[in-house]
Amino acid sequence: MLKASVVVFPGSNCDTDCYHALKDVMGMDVSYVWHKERELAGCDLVVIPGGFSYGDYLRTGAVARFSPVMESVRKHAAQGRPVIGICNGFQILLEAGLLPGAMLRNRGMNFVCKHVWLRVDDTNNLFTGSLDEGSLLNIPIAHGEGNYYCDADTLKRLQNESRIVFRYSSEEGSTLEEFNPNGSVENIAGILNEQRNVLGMMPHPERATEDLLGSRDGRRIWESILAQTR
Amino acid sequence: MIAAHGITDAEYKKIVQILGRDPNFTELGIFSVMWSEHCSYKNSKPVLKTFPTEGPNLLVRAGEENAGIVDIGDGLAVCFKIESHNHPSAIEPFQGAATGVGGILRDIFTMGARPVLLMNSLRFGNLDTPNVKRLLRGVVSGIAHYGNCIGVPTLGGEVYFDESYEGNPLVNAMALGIIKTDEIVKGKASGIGNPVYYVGAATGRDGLGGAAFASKELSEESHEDRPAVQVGDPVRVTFNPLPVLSRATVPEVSFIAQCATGKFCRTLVGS
Amino acid sequence: MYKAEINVTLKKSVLDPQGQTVLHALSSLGYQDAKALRIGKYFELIVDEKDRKTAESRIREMCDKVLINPVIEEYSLQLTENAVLRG
Repeated sequence: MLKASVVVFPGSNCDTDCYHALKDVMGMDVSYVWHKERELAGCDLVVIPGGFSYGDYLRTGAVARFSPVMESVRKHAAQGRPVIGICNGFQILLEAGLLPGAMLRNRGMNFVCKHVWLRVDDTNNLFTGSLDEGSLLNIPIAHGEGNYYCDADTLKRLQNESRIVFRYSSEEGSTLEEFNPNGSVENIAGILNEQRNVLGMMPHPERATEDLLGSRDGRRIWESILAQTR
Repeated sequence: MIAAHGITDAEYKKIVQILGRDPNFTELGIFSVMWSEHCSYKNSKPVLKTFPTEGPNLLVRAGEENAGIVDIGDGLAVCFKIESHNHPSAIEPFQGAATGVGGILRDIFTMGARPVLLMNSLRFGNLDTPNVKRLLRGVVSGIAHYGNCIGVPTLGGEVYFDESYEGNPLVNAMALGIIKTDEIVKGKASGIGNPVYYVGAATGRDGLGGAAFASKELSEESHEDRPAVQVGDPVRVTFNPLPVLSRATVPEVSFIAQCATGKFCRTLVGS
Repeated sequence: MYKAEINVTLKKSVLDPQGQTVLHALSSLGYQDAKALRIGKYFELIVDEKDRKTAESRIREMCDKVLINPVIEEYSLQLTENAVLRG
C-alpha cells in the first residue's frame, strides 16, 4: 500500500481534505506530519497541502520553507521520490527552491474560487504518466496568489525540458489569454522540477476526487501516482 | 466617566440601587459591558422575543449558551448562530467584518462543534456614495479574508441597499458547525476556588472597550474610536487549543467559554 | 548597534498589478497628475554588530536569504549607527 504523508504547517487548511481524498477515497496509508517533525518515517509520497501557512506573512510560503520538516522533504526529493505541492504547497516549494520561479498576486487582484479546465501538456512523469497528453481535467482553484512568474531563461528551460505539466485552458483545450484565471505566464498551472519527481500545482485535485464535489478528474492524478510508483 | 462607559443616568441610578452604593471603576466597567446593546441586546429584545424559541429537536436553546444546537439524528447535531458586528464595520469595515466572522466561529467551536460553513446578511446605504462603496469593499474583503484563512467556506448570504442604512451598515455573520450529541461542551461553571485558564492568541490594546463602543451611537467623531475595533488574526486562531481542551480529553475542565466581547466578563460574573 | 532601512520593490521586469490598480484609483478620485506607481515593502532592522562592514554584510545576507525573494524582488538599504526602531 502506498504510504503518503500530509505535511501540516500552522495555517494549512486543506490538510484534512487531502487526508480524506488519499485515505478514504484512494485507499492509501496516510498520516499527518506536523511541520516541526524532522522525520518523514519512510513514506512514499509527500503532500504539501494548501492553506495560509504562517498567514502568508512576509510572502506566501516564505516562512514555511524554513520549518524543520522541509529538510526531510528536501532529502526525500533528492532521492527522486515523489512530492506534490498543492496551492500554498506549490508556493512553499517555490520559496524553498525545490521548483523554479515565484508566485505573484493574481493579475485581477481578486481571490479566484471556481472550477477551471487544465490541459495536460506532459505525461512523462509519475503524476500524469497514466493520462494521455492533451487530456482535459476539470479541477477547482481557490487562490489570491496564483500568478506564476519566471524569467525568460527559466521559461525556455521549462518549455524545452517539457516540465510544464498543466496549463489553464478552455473546455476544448485552448490556452488563450481569456482562459487564464490569474495572469500566470503561459497559462502555467503546474510544473515539475528537473528530476521530474516534484510537482507544484495551483489547482486542488483533492477537491475533485469524488462526484459529490462536482468532478472526479483529480482522481486521475492520484491513480497515476499509484500506478507509476508500484 | 460614566458617560464614557456608555451608561445613562437612569442606568447609573439602577446600579447604585443594586449595589447599595456607588460602583468602583472595575464594577462600572463590568456593568458597561454587560448592559451594552451588544451584550444584552436591550433595545432589540422586544423584537427578538417575537421569534419562535421552541422545537422538538432542540438540544441547546437560544440564549442558553454561545450558540444553539439542534439534533439532526444519527448521534449528530448542528450548532449555529448569527451575530451582528455593525458598529465596528462602520468605522473599520475590513477588521470589523473580519473579527465579526472570527467571533461567530469561536461561538461554534467553543461548543465543541466543527464549523463547516459561514453565511452573512448585509445592509448598506446608497451604492452611489463613495463611502458606501468603501464600506462594501471593506466588509466583503474582511469576511472573505477571515473565512479563507481559517478554511471555512462562505456559502451564501444576502445584501440589500437602502439610504436608511447610510452611515449605519448592518453586518450579520452566521456560522454553522457539526457536532456529536455526546460531545457538546457547555459554558456554565460553578464552584468557588476553581482555577480559571484564559487561553488564546495574543492581543494588543486594539479592541479593548469594544462592547461599549459597539453599543454607542455613531457620529463624525467615531473615527477616533478606531482602536476599539479589534484587529483579527485568523491564522493564530487556527492554532487555538480550545477545541482540543474538551471534556473528552481533559476531564478536569468543567466548562469552556470563548472570550470575545464581554464574554470574559459574562463568564466569570454570570448574567 | 546598526539600523538598516530597507526598501523592497518588485523587479522592473515584473508586472505590478497592485500598483496599477491603486494608480487607477488615484486617477478616478481626480488625481490625474499621478502617472506612475509601484508598491513595495519597507523593513526596519536593527543588528547587534560592532563594525559597519560586518553589519552591512550580515544584513545583506538576511535580505538575500529571508527578507526578499530574489526571483521577483530587489532592494536598497540605508545604514545608520546606534539608531532606534521607529515603531
